[in-house]
Amino acid sequence: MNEPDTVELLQRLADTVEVGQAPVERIAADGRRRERERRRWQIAGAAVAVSILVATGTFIARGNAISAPTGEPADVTPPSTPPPPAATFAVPNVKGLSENVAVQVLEDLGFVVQLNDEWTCDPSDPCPADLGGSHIVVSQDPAPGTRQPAGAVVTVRVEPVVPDLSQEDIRAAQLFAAFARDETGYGPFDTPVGLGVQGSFVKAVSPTSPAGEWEVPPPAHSGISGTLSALRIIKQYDRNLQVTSDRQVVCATKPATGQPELTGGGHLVSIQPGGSPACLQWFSVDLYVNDVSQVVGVDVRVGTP
Amino acid sequence: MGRDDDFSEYVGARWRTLVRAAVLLGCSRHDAEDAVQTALARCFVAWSRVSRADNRDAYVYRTLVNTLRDSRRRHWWREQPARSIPDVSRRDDTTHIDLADAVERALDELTIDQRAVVVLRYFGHLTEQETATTLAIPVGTVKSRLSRALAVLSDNEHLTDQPEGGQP
Repeated sequence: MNEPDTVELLQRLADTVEVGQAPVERIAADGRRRERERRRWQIAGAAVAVSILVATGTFIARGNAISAPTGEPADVTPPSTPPPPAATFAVPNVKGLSENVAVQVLEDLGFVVQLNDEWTCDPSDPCPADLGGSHIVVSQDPAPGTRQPAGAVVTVRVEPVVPDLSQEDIRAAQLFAAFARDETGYGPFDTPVGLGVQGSFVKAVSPTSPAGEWEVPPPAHSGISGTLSALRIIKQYDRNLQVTSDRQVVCATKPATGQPELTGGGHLVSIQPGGSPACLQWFSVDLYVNDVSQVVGVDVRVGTP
Repeated sequence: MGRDDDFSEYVGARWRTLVRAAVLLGCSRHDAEDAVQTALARCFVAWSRVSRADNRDAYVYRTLVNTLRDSRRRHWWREQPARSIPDVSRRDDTTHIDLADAVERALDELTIDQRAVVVLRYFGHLTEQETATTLAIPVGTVKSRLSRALAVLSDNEHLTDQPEGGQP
């Protein structure tokens, strides 16, 4: 367990805590009440102290000790008090955190996050901007510990962290997503492509088949009505996706490996929701990619607690 | 900006984070908002000092930690709700064991002191020095507690047994 992991775990747990609006007025009212009580005790304490001093004969009244000097008018102008400095907050160190967690941490602290992720796509490629693998923060500006007011912009530079995935794997996932979204009309397929659900082979289709051919029945006892389609899931999911070499830790048990007819000897390249989805919102479109970066199998997995 | 405006701005910006920090420090979700309200009301009285602090968050976290300590001391003799009886916000262990539950359980296995150091350092984003000042302990103690806490978390079965994903 290292520091970024711990930050990420704590943030994930914190995100599950729902918090209402801040009762600012109630807190301030409570603060004023405490203030009045404290003053009352201070006055009472001072009175007791004076009584003791008088009783012991150590108190000597100095009648003119607080008079203004004679001959010159007393300066009645209230001393100018400098305004309190605007509230500033230390920028946390988010280097090493995943992009989603870093953004969450910074936004929770009141900062505005500007992502610098120019690396993600070559403009000449059919590359969905929101699909580029897992991202990690490699630098930030201002530096950690710098004090900034709420609302200040913190720029973080993120880069992909896909230690087990080659650029070809990511590229295959990007092309598949572009195909699913009808952006290209072609995909990185070997033919035919095996389709499955929860690791079980269902059927083989040609990539040129109509979209309806990609429908597969839902897992047994999942409570899902209707059919599932990897193309439709990718197409309809309008938030960020990530590519990994394995599935996220989301649901309770480890899924079985895909059947051989489905995997076709390929290795796993998984497309999943970014961030920290709850089990029921989680899905994984598992692509099985052969050694020439062609998709030989597509497996749909959904969270079914 | 007057004290009230400054205070209101701070509370508006930090309320959510502080309540979540209170939960991570071991407060129940139900009590966390009360604890933070009390801590902030204490800070309101001393807002001139809070405003002058190098790190306002560190000052407020120190007040929050002290508030929680006071609360524990004050209530030790009272009837305590058993932790094993889940309240409505706690998830069903048999059907919804997810990462957040695992983290919560793992934190439960830290000592109160280790937990405070971990939360202030990695959720509150205080420096080691600020964490030490907040908890009134030497920096070396912060480092050693962090080291032991991370070791405990690394060995924790709730986290290490986390599956690689998928459905039950």
